[in-house]
Amino acid sequence: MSDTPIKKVLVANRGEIAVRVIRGCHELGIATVAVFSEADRNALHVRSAGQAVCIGPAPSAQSYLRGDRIIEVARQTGADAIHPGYGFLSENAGFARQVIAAGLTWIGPPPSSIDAMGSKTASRQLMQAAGVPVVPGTTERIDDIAELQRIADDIGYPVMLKAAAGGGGKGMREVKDPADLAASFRAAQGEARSSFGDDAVYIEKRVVNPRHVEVQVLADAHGTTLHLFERDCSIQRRNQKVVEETPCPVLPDATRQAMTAVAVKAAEAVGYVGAGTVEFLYDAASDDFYFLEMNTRLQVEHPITELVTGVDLVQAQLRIAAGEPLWFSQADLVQHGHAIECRVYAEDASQNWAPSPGRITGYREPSGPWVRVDGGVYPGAEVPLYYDPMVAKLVVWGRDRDDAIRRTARALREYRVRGIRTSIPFFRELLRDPDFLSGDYHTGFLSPDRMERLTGSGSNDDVAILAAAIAALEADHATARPAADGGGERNRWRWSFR
Amino acid sequence: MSLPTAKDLARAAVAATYEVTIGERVHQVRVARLGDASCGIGRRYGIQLDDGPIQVVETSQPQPDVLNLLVGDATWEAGVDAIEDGFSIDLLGIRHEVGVVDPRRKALRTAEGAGGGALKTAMPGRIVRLLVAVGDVVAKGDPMVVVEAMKMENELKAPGDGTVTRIAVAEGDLVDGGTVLIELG
Repeated sequence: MSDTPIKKVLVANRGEIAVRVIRGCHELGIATVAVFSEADRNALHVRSAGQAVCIGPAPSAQSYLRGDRIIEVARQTGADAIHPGYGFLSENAGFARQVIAAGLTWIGPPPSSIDAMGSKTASRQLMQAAGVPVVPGTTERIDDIAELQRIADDIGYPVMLKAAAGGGGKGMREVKDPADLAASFRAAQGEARSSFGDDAVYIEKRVVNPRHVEVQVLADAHGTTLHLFERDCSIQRRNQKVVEETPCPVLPDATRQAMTAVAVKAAEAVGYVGAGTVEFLYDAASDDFYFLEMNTRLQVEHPITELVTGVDLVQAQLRIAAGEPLWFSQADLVQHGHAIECRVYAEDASQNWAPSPGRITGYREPSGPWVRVDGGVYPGAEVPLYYDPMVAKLVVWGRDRDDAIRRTARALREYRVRGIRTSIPFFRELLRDPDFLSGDYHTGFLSPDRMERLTGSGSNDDVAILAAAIAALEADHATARPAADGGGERNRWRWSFR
Repeated sequence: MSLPTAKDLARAAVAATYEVTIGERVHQVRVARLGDASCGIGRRYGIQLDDGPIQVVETSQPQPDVLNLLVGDATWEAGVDAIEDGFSIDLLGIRHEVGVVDPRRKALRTAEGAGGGALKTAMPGRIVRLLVAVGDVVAKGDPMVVVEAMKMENELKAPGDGTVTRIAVAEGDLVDGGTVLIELG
């Protein structure tokens, strides 16, 4: 890649993904510029990059979302391309246009592709026209009960009635029995009117216990679009993915072929270039799948695809942005083995996932064969309270699913984080859950009941008592304690065995 | 090595009996230094919970705030942080808050009379809203202040009944974990 027009990349992001992108750049001999907020002066991405520039105060709106300032920094530092990572400005078509207008290379899809996939209804119609299966239903309001009954019979029960102006579950009704349809429709209309001042209601098939399965695609600027198979992201909490794996443990091969072909078709329909992800709802019982949306950027969970395909997706993004054609064909790509990702959140799963920002006083990453940690922290790092709570991703490969699960459990046992609470203890319990082990799960898997089971155990009170009693004895009998240590308090419990 | 007896624990030069609390459990715990660990590095302890059997624990300290324990045929790594009236013990990423009090010292403190109460934050964050003012009478569990951390708002509740005597923060303030926000009298 020595003759690439990209010589220096500004990474318009923070945390683990900024570090990941910087790694990809350095591997290709591309220089890097990090940007940071005042809260991130000591962040790992700042320490990793070749250059770093402060772009404003801690709140994202005054720093990482300041597109104008970021483009100005790119100009000042002589960067010729901008990589947006995920989140922040990554799916902002207006920012992409400004980057391009400034004469810089945008490491992402054409702004028109972002626009086309940005609106739920517009993308749904576009996908339908392209022959991509969508959740059956209407996108326009229905007023006639007879017509409603005809459509419901057509798509099959259960169905969902949804307020067009809706959100937050208001004006939403699930209907299981055709006899209830008319009454539920009137109730949904009334609720929609009182909540949103608009009684427009539409109907959609209710997919029961769906899995979230998505397909990674890569498209170059020369008309080639390939897929890199699927990822199963059904383990979610409040629509936030927690654990992902590939391959999907229950996807029949024929369905995989159909789904990946559809994903390529969806990307082609919007003239996609770069790395993107087409998300589907998958009904394992009926073996049907439906287009959900397309994420026009790199995904958090991209590493599991890298591990099973051997393709470095960040490098691919850079090469595609530099105008290179894809250097492999669909036939070259195979899913080799199995990969799992656990998102390490600075949250206390046992306290209803309460945020746990602060200083990481101790940190030891797992290592050993086929264990990868994409992290944005280090011992002594501060986890600021302003941003996303994900601090690292544990990504593990195994020759098959069972092997990958065992290795992940081993790595979680090694992983030590002190000073903040994390989701690591939760993952240890999750990896012992029989339903997770069987692969039989769906997006509703982390129910309140299961959460309680998975976070209630795992404590070792008896050992804790022993450790605390010894610590107390040593603190109370410590020799040569500094006189000014607060008298009687054990804020300096440390001692030394010499 | 012969197993220690209750007499050994009573005779040890460095020993104490603590009232240890974890969750709902309260134990009288006798802990005594019995000498060097069998490998020569670290120490050996005898520990007895209430009238239970005496357990032998050997410890070493690979890092300043880490205790490695050999308990029977198991090895444990405990992260140790001092907290008020006890220790926070981290075992495999799970925090165990263990109250450890010398009963004599506890008696002293109770005699002084603590009274009232104080609302603290467990986590660092930003004060979004104050829901009470000085002079307000509150009951245990009443919401007092909203603190934001990592895009989530958390309502902190009164730790007990009382009257608000002092508000130590203002809306918009950034606070560290453990900061006293509101005092009750």
